[in-house]
Amino acid sequence: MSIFDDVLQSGQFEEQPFGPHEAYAGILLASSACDGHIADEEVQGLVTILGRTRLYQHVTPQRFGSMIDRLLGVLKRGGPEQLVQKSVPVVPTELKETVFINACDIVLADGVVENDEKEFINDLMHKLEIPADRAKQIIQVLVYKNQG
Amino acid sequence: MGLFDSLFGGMETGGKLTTQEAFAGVLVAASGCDGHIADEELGSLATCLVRMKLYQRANGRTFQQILSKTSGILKKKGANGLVDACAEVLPKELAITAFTNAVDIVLADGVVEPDERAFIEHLAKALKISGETAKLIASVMVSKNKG
Repeated sequence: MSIFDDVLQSGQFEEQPFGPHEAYAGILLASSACDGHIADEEVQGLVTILGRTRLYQHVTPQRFGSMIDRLLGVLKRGGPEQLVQKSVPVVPTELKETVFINACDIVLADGVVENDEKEFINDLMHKLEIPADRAKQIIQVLVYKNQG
Repeated sequence: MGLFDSLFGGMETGGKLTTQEAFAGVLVAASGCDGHIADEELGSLATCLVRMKLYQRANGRTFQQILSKTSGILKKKGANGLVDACAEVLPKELAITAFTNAVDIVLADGVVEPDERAFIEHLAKALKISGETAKLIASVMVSKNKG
């Protein structure tokens, strides 16, 4: 029996499952980090994108900040794969395509696509159940958007 | 010839735009097509442009000049007038990129007003984007900004 068992009976320090807010942000954070690293300014850029999203309209800055901290923790411990794995089942059906498009936009933003990024997008497409034909259209439009 | 022509030669808004000005101009027009453009909208535009190879060698001062020149044209000629001036000089390979980013900007607030719809239609025509491609781009950008 560990020394924590008595004092932590309530379960308040146990990991809580993700909700839609964590899931949407988690997938975008994973897409920023899928090339193996994530810079502070990438996190900052992501916070700006999410701040404009209606999904977070009623989330207080404090809750928003602690959500990002929590997601960064999962990313650090389990990598983008675990972040995606925990997020996908909780993304609301009507936002699956939206989060996929925004994730691809983040990956394509620097105008280069590495092999691990391609794999990430392919895997995400399957997990979010985006039909391959539609995914192709989405990638085509985002290539237009991020070239030049 | 007017008395001041030689003095103001470099300060007029007339004359052809550069490629950098034309690309930025399309996005300025997209931000301003609902009748106003906020400072923070110009700021986030600059953030988006900085990442592009087209502006690799542009410094802060150049950006400021590009944005103030194009927003000056927006004020005088309106969004469609600015788009027409930009479309004249924008290379074909950048037209589709400008169009896609413009649609993204217009849809960013999740609402499309009738004047915004008319703006996108005008932009597609001016940049010679085919109806089919424009529809595809719009469908993806609508979905992108749903969240």
